[in-house]
Amino acid sequence: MRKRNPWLTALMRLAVIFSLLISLLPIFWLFSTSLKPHDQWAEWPPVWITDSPTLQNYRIVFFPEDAREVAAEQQGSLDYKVSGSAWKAFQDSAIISTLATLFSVTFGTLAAYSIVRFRTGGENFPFQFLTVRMMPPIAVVVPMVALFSILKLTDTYMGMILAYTAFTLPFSIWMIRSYLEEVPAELEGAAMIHGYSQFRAFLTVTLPLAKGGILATALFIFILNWSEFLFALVLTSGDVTTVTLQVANYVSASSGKLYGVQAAMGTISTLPVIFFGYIIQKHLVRGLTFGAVKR
Amino acid sequence: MSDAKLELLDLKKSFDAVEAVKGVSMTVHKGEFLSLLGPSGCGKSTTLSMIAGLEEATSGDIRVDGQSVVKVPAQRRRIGLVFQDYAVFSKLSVRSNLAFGLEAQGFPRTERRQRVAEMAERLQLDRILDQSAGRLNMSEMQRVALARVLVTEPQLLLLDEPMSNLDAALRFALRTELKRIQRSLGQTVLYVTHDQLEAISMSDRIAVMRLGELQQIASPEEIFTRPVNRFVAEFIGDPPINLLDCEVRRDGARAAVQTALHGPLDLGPLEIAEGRHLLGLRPHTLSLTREPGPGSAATEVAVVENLGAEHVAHVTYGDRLVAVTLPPGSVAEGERLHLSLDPAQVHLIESGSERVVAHSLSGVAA
Repeated sequence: MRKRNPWLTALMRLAVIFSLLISLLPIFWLFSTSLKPHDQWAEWPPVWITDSPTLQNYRIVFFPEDAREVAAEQQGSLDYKVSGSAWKAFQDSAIISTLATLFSVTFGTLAAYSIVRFRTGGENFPFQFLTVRMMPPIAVVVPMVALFSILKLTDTYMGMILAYTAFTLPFSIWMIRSYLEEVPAELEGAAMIHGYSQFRAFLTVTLPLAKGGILATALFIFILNWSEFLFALVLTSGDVTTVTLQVANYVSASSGKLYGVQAAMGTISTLPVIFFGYIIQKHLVRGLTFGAVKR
Repeated sequence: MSDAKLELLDLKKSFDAVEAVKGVSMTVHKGEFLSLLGPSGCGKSTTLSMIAGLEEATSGDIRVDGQSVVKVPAQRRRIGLVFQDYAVFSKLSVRSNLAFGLEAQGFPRTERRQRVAEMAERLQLDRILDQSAGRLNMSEMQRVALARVLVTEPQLLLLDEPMSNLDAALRFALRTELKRIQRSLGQTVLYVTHDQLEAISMSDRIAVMRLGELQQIASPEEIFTRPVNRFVAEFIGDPPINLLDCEVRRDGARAAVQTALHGPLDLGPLEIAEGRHLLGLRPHTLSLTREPGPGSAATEVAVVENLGAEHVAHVTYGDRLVAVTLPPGSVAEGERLHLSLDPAQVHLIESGSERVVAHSLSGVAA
């Protein structure tokens, strides 16, 4: 490899560090706030790193019934009024995100296979899927609310799972398509020549070869589902809730402005996203490109 | 009762607007080695895929032993196919690869073992049976792919350019090997290639394809000596045939042809329009002499190409060059010689239709 100009290398490193600082600042602020006592949450000048870190915010997230006790310990200067339950939010988010991911990836795999192997829909078909994602989600919110109320899907697991499946399916198809394209058709053909049906050849030959990519897609879709807010907000009203809704709950008309608690909840709910994101980072670049850096 | 193993009847395949195979009809006999020869993109691989059942035919019929198989899915056609890239299952061992088809078709364990062992010995794979197929070299992979198909005793074996990934020495060895195996098993083989040498050296018959259409189907000798049209004449033969402009004149019922330096040659009572046509001369049918002979023309050696066992002299012919094959060392560049052609080995190609209308002319006219 050719030796790079050391100045250029240094400059590029600086740029990377700078952009990292910018993108990591909110995460840092979130975590930092989650450890602050209530009088430092919104203090001016801002407290970057608290001198008296506390886990009380986390305690209130998990045990809202301790709120009075916490308030007493802090000389009653703040009334912790908490609405909603973090436990319920985590449970619902896990159910909805997992099942919606499962459906999205299952249907996405089948659709992508059909596109790759049988040229279903013609050359531009996969692009048409993506264009669905190019419109702002808010545009479909009103018709969705109306539709869900007619179908009695509002505030149900089924409704949320359906909505999330529908909205992530284009990503599933697009990403899985690129992984399936890398599996040579000949291998499947060879299995068929030797007595496998097309579907059996797909299941036993093609699918195992694409499983890394499909798994990466699943984690990506899970992250999308887990962090979705808008549809959760308009399509539920209390029976079903999600972590993103619960994060918002700590700063609302009924709760007051519990920034620290909100930050604690935010930190916890970000953990799976960071974890899965780290696992699939290598695959993400490949899956989301337009096939340009294949192989 | 005919001995036809495979019959294609007006077989067509279109991809969207593109017609890849435009109505191919041909018959492969039992035990025959037939090559489907043509340049890339001529539809030969598509034809193979349709026979194997991996592509659906747009129209037409495919019959094996007289029975139509177009509605039969690939896994039940019992047609073996060796892919260009072999498609060996690299995560399995060689043994599992060989047993794959037998297992898929539900053969009992003992028979599987026995058949795999026999085939492995025949193709000299017995020593690497337990290796992972991902670690094989090209020649081993090719033999694994072949053995994997042969062990299922397919009624018809299709090979899709199986040697295109190999180097010249290996190709030569495998050509002989493949031919030997085919003979000893009496296997009917349809072999797809763009390499005329492979086709000529192994085949009982060759089918030449171009742009989705069958041009000629005949023995290698006949394809070489009696090509039906300009495409076949040019595609077969190395070094390629010399094509010279020529002029046909009619005198009553008889016609005669003249080139820049030779002729007029008597065509006899041949039905061909007067005017410009093409004359095809194979390099090995031309001869160079130091003294002028009857009908010879003066020429000069421009370039001599050394092909090892033979030399190709490119000699002037009017305003162009023609190739003549010679034993090594017989001529030198710059030498002035006399070129004679053998009227018995001349192909007259009609302009327009590009058909070869005569494969030999009756003699040298004065």
